Amino acid sequence: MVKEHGTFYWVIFYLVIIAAVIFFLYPVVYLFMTSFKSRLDIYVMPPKFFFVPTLQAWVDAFTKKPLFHYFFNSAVVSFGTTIISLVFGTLAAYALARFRIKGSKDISFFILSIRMFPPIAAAIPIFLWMKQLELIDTRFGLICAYTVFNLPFVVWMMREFIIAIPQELEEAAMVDGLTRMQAFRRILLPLLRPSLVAVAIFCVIFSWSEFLFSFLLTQTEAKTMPVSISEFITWREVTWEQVSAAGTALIIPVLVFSFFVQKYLVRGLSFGAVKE
Amino acid sequence: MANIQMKKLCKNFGNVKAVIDLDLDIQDKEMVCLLGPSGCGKTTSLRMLAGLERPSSGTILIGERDVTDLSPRDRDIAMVFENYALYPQMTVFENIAFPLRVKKLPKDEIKKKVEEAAEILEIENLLDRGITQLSGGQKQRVAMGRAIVRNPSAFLMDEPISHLDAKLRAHMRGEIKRLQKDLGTTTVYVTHDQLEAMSMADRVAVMNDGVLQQLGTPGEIFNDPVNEFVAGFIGDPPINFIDGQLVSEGGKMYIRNDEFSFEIPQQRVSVLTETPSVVFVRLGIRPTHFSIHNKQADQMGIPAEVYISEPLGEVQIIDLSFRDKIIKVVTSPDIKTEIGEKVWLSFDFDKANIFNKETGMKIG
Repeated sequence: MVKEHGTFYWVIFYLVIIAAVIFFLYPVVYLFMTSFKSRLDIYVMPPKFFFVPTLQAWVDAFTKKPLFHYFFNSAVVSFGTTIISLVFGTLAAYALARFRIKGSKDISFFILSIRMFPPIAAAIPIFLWMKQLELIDTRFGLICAYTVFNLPFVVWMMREFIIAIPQELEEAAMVDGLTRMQAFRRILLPLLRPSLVAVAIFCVIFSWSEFLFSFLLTQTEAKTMPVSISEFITWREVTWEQVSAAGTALIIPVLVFSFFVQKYLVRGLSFGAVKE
Repeated sequence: MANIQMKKLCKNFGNVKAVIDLDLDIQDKEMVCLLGPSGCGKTTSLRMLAGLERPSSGTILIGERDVTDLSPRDRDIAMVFENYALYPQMTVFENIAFPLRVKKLPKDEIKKKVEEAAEILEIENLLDRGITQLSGGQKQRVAMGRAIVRNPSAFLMDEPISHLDAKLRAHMRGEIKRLQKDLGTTTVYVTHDQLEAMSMADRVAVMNDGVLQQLGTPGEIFNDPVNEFVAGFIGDPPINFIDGQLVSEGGKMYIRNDEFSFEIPQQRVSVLTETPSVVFVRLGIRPTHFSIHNKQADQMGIPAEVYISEPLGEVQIIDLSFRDKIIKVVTSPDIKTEIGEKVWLSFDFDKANIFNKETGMKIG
């Protein structure tokens, strides 16, 4: 039975929703607005909501620094990390979910515990290794570092998703004439597609906005957007309008991406909360 | 079409022995049911036959071909799973066609074969549906369709109708048996439901604790069980066990306890004398083999008290208490009894089984 609610309930309901939306959206909107303000308008108190927009900040930001290059780096590193993590993570998850491996639960938990490890504690050892391997300031080096932290997440999530799919489906396919790998590819993988997208979103967002490792492991060539933005803040001045322009440029792809895959995003976030 | 042989088949999961020295010889065109309680090793045996589990030791032959180390796809078998295992991303047609597509058969041949299978199972009108739109009974038929479409040398069925409701299950028992007879395909059928096994199988293999207890026709299993487990597992209401002692007196043999003393008919004694060391025995008597009297008719009487009667329409089950135990008796519904009434039970000794109380094995 669905209980009927009165007008008062709905008024409160929408007020709360609106408050929540303002709370979460305000910083984004403010960032966006600031990127179109002139330097004088930025410091006005109270903040101006109506002003003459200018593209000056965007032009300055993208001409003073090779932001397009950094943007490209971010994209390569994010997608590289995501693809590598998904490929290896899903295969590992398949093994952990489907084969009787001695201590597979312990192995799974051990893998997850890597994710719990504070990245800062691993930063120096990783820096030294990268230096030895001459991977400092390369996109590949950064992809390796990010994969370390994304892989456990992928393994853990995908293991749960695979367990949720009955093993008999692959067994039926194997009896019907497929090899194990074919059964994985033709039967299981299509069913895992929504889960793979959900997990990929998290990987992309993590890699896209990561700061610490990019700051430590890159200098000029492989530098990503988040680090380059921080460099607008110097001892001489803080060019907030340019920070805002670059920041807006950084979040737009993620916003667009999330918009298209929001259906899967909800699935990833609510996984395990309700039984399918 | 092929016969199936399992020789000294064993399966261990760590320290757990799931199947122990299973020897099973299944004839061509035969339907054998593996019957037993859950955890008895019947499904593991079937999965080894399918190639989904690797045996710890032993060999499996399908049609004289050693398939022990072959992958499932190379065994030429079809399997129907308990949860049907239909591919959710495909339509009914695609599900049934799947094994043929894997074999890369020409399109028109696939279409023809799928339609034939659908016709046999009366699911022609479902072919374009998605799997999620089907009821349990329809899913079951689609799973059967996927199995029969490839004309394999054997069908393996793992509790294929256990998720259907009682009425549909009774209907499908007949359908599957008829289908198996029509197609003449060797079939191994796993179930925990004795009614299914008895009604469908040519021979029943009763398993317990990973060990094959008895392989025989439903009649043999029912009338001539090799041990107490088989006797107790088959039959509803279950067989009644009554303890007694074997006594030899004046050239005659008796089964005795405080309440009764039965002389064992001469023709049964010959078997018994082969086991002179047995003293404590257990009589196994089917509920249908008793008759109830209101006074002691002859020597063959067991005194009991009516506990409750359950009229079922065609028959009635009367529960009688005897030495802290309940004896179930199936009688005609015309017999009227009162709770607490004293009655006498007699039984047909020819149909009773005598078990060694210690080992549980049948001795006569």
